[in-house]
Amino acid sequence: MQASKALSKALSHTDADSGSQRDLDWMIVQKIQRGQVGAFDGLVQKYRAPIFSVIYNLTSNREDASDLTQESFIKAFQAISRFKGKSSFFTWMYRIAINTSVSFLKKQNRRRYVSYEVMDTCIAQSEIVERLASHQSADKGALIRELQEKLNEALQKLSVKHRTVVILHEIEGLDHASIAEITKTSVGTVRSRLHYAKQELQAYLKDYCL
Amino acid sequence: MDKKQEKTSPIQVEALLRLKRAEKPDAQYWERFDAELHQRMLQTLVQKEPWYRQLYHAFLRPKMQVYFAATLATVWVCVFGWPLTDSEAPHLHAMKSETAESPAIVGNVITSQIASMDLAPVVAAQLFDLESSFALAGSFDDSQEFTLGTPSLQNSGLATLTF
Repeated sequence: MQASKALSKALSHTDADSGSQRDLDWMIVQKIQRGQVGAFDGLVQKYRAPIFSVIYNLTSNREDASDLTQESFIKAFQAISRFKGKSSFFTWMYRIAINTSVSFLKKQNRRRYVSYEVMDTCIAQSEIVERLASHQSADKGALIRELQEKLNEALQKLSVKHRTVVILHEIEGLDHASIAEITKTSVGTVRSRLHYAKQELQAYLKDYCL
Repeated sequence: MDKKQEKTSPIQVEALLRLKRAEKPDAQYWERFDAELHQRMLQTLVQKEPWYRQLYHAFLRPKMQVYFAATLATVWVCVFGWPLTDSEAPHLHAMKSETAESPAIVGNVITSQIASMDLAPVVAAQLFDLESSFALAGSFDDSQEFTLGTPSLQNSGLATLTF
């Protein structure tokens, strides 16, 4: 009983947070629409890291991700006068970033290069890395590099639609409803794509699923 | 107990994917990113959009869509005319049933329709010829062969149609 109360309180707190975030973003957008274009910097500061992360994981190339992140923000800036606030700025921005990346991937379908981002050193202390290192009796640094390569390769083997859903849910931590809104699909489709994608990843990464 | 369980439970794909959260650019990267983005944004402010993109964005506006639909409807009415309304439909039904009963009166029906619609006299005259030819040749039920044309044309053997 207490646990359910705590859970509902936590959920309502999260909803209130996302609601206030949405309102805050909408206020900034209205400022920009009134001509205070400098306010756009606030939105860039807030969303550049998650947008970069999504694009980087979609492309597995840090240079492409950097270019596409900038392009996404420029597209958003150019179109912000037409943004009516029907969805949250966050959803709209994610949609622009994903569409930009998908168009890029379609054009670059035949020649793809990988260029990985540096892994944070704190990962060496994670429980998974400890377990894998002790199991394979390997050097942690080498194991992390190998793991990074395998994870990126596995993601690139998925279709763009499946990859997008996995990235948004498992790496970015978005819920099914938000992903459905971003990808303009139903929650059922999101769940189904996620299930299929995880099965595929499980097969690719079976050596690491001890 | 929980830690022991964690250590013995298999590593899930979800946990492996969460490791990718550690792939982050450093603070220096973001400084460079901001500078480049500002420069690119300024460039786009100076550059003018091509005409087809301006047109596309113009059509996205609801007001423009209404104007476009109204113009299209006006042009359609001017070129193709107003579509048949239900009030005119009974006349056509009556005409169809009458012609089915007696093909000899086809000309009469058409002529009266043309007269009521106030069409050009040339069309009416042509139909008058048609009416007389129907009268001369009889009905569809009488014979398999049915010759269409004015009496003078039928006699000369020119421009006749045989059913």
